[in-house]
Amino acid sequence: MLNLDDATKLLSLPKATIRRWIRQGKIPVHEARGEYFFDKKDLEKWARKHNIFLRTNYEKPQSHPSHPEGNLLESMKRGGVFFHVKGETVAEVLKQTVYLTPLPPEVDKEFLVDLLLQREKLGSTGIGAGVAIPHPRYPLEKLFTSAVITTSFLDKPVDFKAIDGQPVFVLFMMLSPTTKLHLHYLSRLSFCLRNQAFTAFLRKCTNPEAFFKEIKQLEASLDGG
Amino acid sequence: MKDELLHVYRNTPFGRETLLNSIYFCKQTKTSLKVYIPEHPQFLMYFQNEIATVELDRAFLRSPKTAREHAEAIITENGMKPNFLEPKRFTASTLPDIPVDFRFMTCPRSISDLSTKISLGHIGPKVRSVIKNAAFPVFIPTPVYKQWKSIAVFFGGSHNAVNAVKLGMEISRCADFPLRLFTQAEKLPQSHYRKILRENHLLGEVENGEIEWIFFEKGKFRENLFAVPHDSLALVGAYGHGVIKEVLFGSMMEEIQTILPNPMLIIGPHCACG
Amino acid sequence: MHRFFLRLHERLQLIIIASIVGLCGGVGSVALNRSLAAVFEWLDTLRGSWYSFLFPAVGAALSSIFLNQIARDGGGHGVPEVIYSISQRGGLLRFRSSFSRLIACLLTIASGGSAGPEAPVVISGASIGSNIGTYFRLKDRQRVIVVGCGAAAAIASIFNAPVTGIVFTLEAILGEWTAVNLIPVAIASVVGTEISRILQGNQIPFQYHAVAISPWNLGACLGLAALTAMGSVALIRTLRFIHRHAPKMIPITWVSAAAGGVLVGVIGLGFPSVLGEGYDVIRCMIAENYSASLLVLGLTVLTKILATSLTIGSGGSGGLFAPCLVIGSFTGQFYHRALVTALPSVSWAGGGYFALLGMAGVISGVLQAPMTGVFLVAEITGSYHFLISVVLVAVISVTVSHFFEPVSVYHQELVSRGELIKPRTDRQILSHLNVLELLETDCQIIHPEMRLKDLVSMIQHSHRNYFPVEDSQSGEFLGMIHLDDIRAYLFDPYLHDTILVEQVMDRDVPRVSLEDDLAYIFEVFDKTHSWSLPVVRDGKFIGLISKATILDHYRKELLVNEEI
Repeated sequence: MLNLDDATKLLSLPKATIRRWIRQGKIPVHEARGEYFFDKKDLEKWARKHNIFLRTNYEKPQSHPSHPEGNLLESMKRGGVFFHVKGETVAEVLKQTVYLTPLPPEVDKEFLVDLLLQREKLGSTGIGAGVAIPHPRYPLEKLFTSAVITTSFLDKPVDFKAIDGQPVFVLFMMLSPTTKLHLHYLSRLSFCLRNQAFTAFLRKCTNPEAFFKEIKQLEASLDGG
Repeated sequence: MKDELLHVYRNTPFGRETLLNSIYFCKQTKTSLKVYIPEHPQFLMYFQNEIATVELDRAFLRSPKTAREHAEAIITENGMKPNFLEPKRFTASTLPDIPVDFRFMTCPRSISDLSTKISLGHIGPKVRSVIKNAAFPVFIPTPVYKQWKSIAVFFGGSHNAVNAVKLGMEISRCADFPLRLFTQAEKLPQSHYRKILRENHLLGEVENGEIEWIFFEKGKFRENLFAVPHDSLALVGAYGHGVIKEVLFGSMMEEIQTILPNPMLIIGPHCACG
Repeated sequence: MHRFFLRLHERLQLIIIASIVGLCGGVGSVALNRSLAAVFEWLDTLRGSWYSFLFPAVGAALSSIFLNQIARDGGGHGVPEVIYSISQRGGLLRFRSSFSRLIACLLTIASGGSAGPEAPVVISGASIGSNIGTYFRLKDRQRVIVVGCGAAAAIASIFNAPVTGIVFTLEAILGEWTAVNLIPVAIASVVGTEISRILQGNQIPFQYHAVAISPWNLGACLGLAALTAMGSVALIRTLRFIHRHAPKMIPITWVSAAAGGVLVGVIGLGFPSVLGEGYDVIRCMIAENYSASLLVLGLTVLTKILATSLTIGSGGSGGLFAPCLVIGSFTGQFYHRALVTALPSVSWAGGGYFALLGMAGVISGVLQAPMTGVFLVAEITGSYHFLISVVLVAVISVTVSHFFEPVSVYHQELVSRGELIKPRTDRQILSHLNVLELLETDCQIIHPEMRLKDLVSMIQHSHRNYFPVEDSQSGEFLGMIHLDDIRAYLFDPYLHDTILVEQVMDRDVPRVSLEDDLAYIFEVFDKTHSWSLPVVRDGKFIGLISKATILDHYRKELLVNEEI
């Protein structure tokens, strides 16, 4: 049994509308002591019959929060930082990066590399100043619950056909479950990369701890305003 | 529900007092005032299951030329904006339909009989029919303008009374006036009433002192009513036990309205408040 | 009992209630019919005296006083009230309407006023239906059908014509033909007829003995159809003229009713057949027992039109059904006499035949309901032999009178107030939705002295395109900012600090209020090409109303209205 408030949420309509429907006899309802009750089964049957959408779980849907949260540091720690990644071509460095990343066992790594390359074909992910942010063409909905960013410092700079023509020396590979999350992390990462001190630091970075420390500081300044 | 109080204006000195009462009520509850100046001797209110035909006392229609002017003057003098209801729908050309989606409505004790009949213990049949059917509480003002500074809720345990407590709390918070709960024990221990309050999540306010609970264990209710402050708004649930039962066994509302001259807010069985 | 009842299937509930309503509606009509006959007979003994022309005046005055002062029920012949209640008020009718019109019309007609008892029985049947429906806690949707049941039973019972009851209700009262409506209405109609048959015997009101109809007559029908259409238009217009001007000339209703009554009484001195409901005359005519000259017939048609308009228009109580039948039969008779005089060599079917056709023609023309006319004539004469000619006359009469008077006499009052809302139309859905249900209150309110910079950062976190501007002190609504208005400055950071909200806001946005109906709001939308409008009360902003939300609700409203 549901009360009026529950039905309001279930149908996502204002209370006044539901009251009117009750008065007009358009919705199945029981009345007791001046209050209204709805039988959930009746209501579902009625909704099906009239092709009306019922929110089955009337909490706000959780899988896609409207304002994604999460910071870079966490997802970078999940993806790991790797140095001296070998490879001569774009395909080779991407493959290496994928194989270095700690991924769940059900991920088909060859397929993932293919997705990354498809995206490169559409346009280079090299954003200039020797940095590239490769990512698959589609969000990988089922494989992750949160984003994973793998940082690979390349052994030798590789020509990514970047916008400024500079060879790329560092990759931030982003794998995210939703487009929204992807954009969220992308905007945070690009905030960091706009900082010239940071790009200079990247060129001489040699250990993960220093790298994470730098990211943490930058994010703090981002969240602090 | 519109956040408005409906006031039917009677263009007489008596009607002025009523309007002043309504204005004070609106200010305390932060409600807008909507004034209807009748042009026909009757109007209809289509409630959910019943049509109330309200026949107006002839004084309502007297001197229609000055009615609007007077009402406007009274309202603006008291710092509110005049807002008049123009009936848009008519059942017949002389039978306007008045909307019923207000938050409150002001009815003097009698709307159909001459105002000379207005006295304690008398509530006119049309006012009763509005109370019985309306989804809004009905405000019954005193014959002369009276300001109230506290709220008294009569809590007898019925479903309507619970609504009255909820509404009382809303008004007391809005107007920042103290709220007192009055209960006359009818062969039942206080724990019974306490249980009802707890079930409706109202006990907390009683325990933390936001609500003062005055519980009469002894004496007659009529005599105990003297404890109600003279400057309080009385909230009473009506017809909580069914109309027939109340006529046979007497109801709390009848007792209160016979004895208490205070302004009253009556919560009928169809009220969607609280 | 209630609880047991509520457990039944909805259709079964309706069928049971329809039978009860049919019973009550039937009894009501029989009661009126019997008392009419009794009072009429009683007054008949006095009718010879010199003062008898005052009877209609006294009757009309009493009837008006009863209706307005004692029963305190609004005037009018009642059927528009039923239609209004069905289309907009979920079929709610007042209990007093179930008897007030019956008594008022008894006073009017029995004293000689020219009106019919049908409209009063329709409203009383409908009101009985409405109150029974409410007693059984029916919701609006079902109550509307039960109101129709009451009307059907009343008509079926008074004419002893079940099909007419059904057809009249669906065509003129409910305005839609659906299976859900048909079944309960049919049951009520059958029960109502049966009650009348049990109480007063199964008599065909106007027995007609069929004769052979030659094709010539069919051709002549066309002329009759045109003539009846003219008659209908004349009746509608005279009635409307008197209805409009009577209250202006004599503002006190009972005096004006009495004045109308005096005039009717005077007319009655010359043409006694115009007085009362007039069924006796029709009976004579159908049985071919009526003879009068061409001139008298023509004058009778005109005086009947005038007498009816005077009776009803001046404030008397009663319906148009019976007068229509009388006018129709006289028109038919007149036409027949004219044909015989002009072309004596052709073998015309009798005057009764044309009188019947005339009845169908005028009823259909006045009510704009052809099927009602056809079935009424077929059933009250107990004969289907001349169905072809009746259909022909009814349809042509409707078409011709529709050209002059496009609205049925029952709908006129509603149309003039702009309140005729037909079922399952756009207007009906819009009239159900009100602004309060559609109000969007999750708006971000801004103040006139804010800088563009602050607005930009607000836009970043908002999912709306419209921002209402309020005075920061008084809270008064000043205007709106639409994203389109400031798009040009948004990307220019130099302007962020220099532009204030009050410089870019739109001060004269059209505002709507909570009381406005959606039809009006759509007009404003169309005029301004806007997507959202601010809803303002007492100068304060209370929310937005937008086309997108309306569409969403509109669609849901359509979906729940579907009957499956």
